[in-house]
Amino acid sequence: MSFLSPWALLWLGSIPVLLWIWRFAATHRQISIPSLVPFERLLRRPPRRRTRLVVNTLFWLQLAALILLVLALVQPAIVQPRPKTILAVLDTSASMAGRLRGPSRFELAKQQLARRIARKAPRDQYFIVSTAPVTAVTPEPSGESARLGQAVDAVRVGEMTGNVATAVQIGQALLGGRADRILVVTDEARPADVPAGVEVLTVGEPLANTAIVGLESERPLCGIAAPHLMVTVENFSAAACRIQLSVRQDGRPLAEPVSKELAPRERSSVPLAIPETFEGWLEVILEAPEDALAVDNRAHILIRSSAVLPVAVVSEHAPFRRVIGEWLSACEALTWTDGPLADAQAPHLVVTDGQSAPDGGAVGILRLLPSLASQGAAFAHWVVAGDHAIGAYLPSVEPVVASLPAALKTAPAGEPVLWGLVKGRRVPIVLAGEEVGRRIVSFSIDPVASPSSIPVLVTFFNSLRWLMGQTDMVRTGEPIILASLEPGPVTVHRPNGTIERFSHPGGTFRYDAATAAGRYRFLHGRREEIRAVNFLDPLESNLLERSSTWRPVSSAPADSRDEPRSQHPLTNFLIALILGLLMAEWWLYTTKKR
Amino acid sequence: MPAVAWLTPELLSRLEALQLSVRWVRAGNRLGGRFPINRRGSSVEFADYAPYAAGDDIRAIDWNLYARLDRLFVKTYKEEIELTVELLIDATSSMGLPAPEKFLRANQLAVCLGYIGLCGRHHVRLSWLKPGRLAASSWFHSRSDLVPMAEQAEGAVLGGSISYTDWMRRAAAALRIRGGQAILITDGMVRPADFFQALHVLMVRNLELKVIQLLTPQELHPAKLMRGGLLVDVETGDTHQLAYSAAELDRAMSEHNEQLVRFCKRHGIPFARHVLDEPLESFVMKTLPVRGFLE
Repeated sequence: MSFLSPWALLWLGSIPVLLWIWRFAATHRQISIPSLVPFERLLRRPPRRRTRLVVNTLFWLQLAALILLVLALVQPAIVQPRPKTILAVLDTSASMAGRLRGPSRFELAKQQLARRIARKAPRDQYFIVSTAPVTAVTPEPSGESARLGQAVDAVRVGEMTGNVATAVQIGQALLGGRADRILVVTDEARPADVPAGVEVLTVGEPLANTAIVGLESERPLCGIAAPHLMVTVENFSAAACRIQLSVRQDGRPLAEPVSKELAPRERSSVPLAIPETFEGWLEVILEAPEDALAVDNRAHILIRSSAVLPVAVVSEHAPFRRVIGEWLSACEALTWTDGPLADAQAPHLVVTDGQSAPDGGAVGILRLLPSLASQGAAFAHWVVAGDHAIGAYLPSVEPVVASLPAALKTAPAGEPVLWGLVKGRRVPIVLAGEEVGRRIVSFSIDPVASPSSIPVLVTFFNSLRWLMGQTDMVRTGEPIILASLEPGPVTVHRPNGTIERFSHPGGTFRYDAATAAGRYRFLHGRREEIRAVNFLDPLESNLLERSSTWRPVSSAPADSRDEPRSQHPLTNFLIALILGLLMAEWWLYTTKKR
Repeated sequence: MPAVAWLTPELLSRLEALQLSVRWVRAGNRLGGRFPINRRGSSVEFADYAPYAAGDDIRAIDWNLYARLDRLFVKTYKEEIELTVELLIDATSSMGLPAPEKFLRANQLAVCLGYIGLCGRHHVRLSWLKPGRLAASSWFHSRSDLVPMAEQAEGAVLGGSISYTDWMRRAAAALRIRGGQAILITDGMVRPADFFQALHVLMVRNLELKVIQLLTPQELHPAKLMRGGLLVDVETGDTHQLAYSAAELDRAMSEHNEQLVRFCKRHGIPFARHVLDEPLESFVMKTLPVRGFLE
């Protein structure tokens, strides 16, 4: 209980005044008695003590009314801690399934969360959100421990990458920013800058793991050679490990397994031989003695009969077509056409200087945005950002002279791969991204105005190689996009055997529920499409040193020290009580008078 | 509400079953009753022999005794008188405090005793001790006098302060109180000396005395009544600042009452104390027979 006007307690000084009034009244009150005769002997001696305070029910009522009045002036209020809404983020990313002996990290996390729920204050409410995928485990905040426990029990670990910060932000948004505390149960390392009101419970211990972190089927771009399979594996342990890689098609071994010794924390690309005429889906299987995670030991890939796609140069500007043609002619293995491809529905790449994306069978677009030489800015150096495939074979900083286009109407979308230094500022030069199932590379380099330097050519052909790369394979959690589907029902056969059906209005079909690794089969009329969803995530596979995906949230919960409290003012109640007392006093007084 | 409403048939029938306890009878002023006294009378009950004196009725000479003793003796007979019952009710101001019910109960008690007396064919009179002219009812002789008696009791009013002794002397002379039975109903709020002297005045007039002290519970434990302040004696108007403990007040009251009880006991005067929280009927039916008032 707290007092809103504590200074009003000084009014308690009026109580002695009441006592004095009653004592004065008692001293001067005349009481008629039948006779003083019985007390004559007593009256002969003087009184031994002072007249005492004589009180009756009226006095107690008045005293009570006075005290209540003082209390009402003090404005007492019962302060109760407001029931807390706790946002619990349960990490369900693939790494949580890691285990060598004993319970998995996910089981430990669920036990930790269940213990917290069991110990919660009765009025506290939990809102549980999982990270991979980010979904609300409970539809709304709940204070029922049994219901929360059942919901936690029902959660299963996913085969996706998880991001704690994203889950926290989405959870906060679902709660409307009402979360008083945030509890994160994860196997990630505890971040150093955890704000007040956020608690991170880390479960699990470092575990040894080996994983497939990359899978590629490549042919030389400018030479005629058989395709080969390149598997990138990594040893996430502090000890050397011997792994074995095998290739299977529909469960049947396709080639002899390949063994390799991996040093601690070593990443290595292992080429796997496949038959020259082979075409179709392959499954790559990794086996290792100490392996804590199973989901990263398998991957699927589609081997095509022709790895090099035809290129169509589409532009209204002849100089542009000429320069690009000269570049493409340098590569013997490439087939290209000046203008759109005759069979527009056949898979091909488009090199253009336009903004609009061509329809049809174009699986990738390379845009070289034109510029007006007089208005464009020139740059002399560029910087390779990140480890994108387009940046392969390029030094980090390269002296390059090129012309930049003038101000663009719309900024190109995608991830910056190369940055140019223009007047001391970093300007994105090459961006790589995807749009409606197509890979797109945007060059902010004018090929006509720029000299054909080797770095520019390497970047150009790297971009073509990346655009021709595997597009039938996505990672878990990424959407599967099928272009140009007719209207009608689409049936999806998931890797775990379940079937989903959708009514498709036509056009691009986007399937967002690719949460499990494996092969997905899409049936649309007589058309069948197969897409592979692989779990290729070094961050998740690294169970030895889990890095944190936490980043400071914009709407941090209130600090527990100044947590909001609900107040229930008692003044009205006290005033009602005083009125009741005064009425009782009035009734008693009139009764006595009567 | 009629004055006799409280006199229910049940109460009356129970009162009729009682009679006043009479230990001895001395000469009264009513002849022809059923109580013989040792005074030469005209009843048929032989009392004694007496030597003949001139003037005696020669018809009373016992000639057989003269033949044997050769001396003249006359036979004397007891005189039969009726019992007179004087009900003396304290009507001083103290009887009105702390509640008027005290005086009302005193009158009701007197009416009950009076009715018992009437049922015993006694002569009953009610007198109220208060200043001024003597307030006394006429004699009541029969049961049919119950209603007039109750109405007179109902109409009695409280007076001021008096000296019991003076009032008794005046009443004895004016009302010719002599012989019979006198029942004093009072709260005892009087100086003990005055009280004792007043009773002496009655005793020397051959009255069989009985005393009933009527008190309220608050008077028995005055601390409940007098809770500080200036005490005012309702009879004398004397004031006193009260600054005594409850125990002291209780002890003083107890000692005062004990003085009255001791005096009555020493003189063979039946004494009963009626506290107002006890029902009237219970007091009359149970307490008074035990205390020697009724039988």
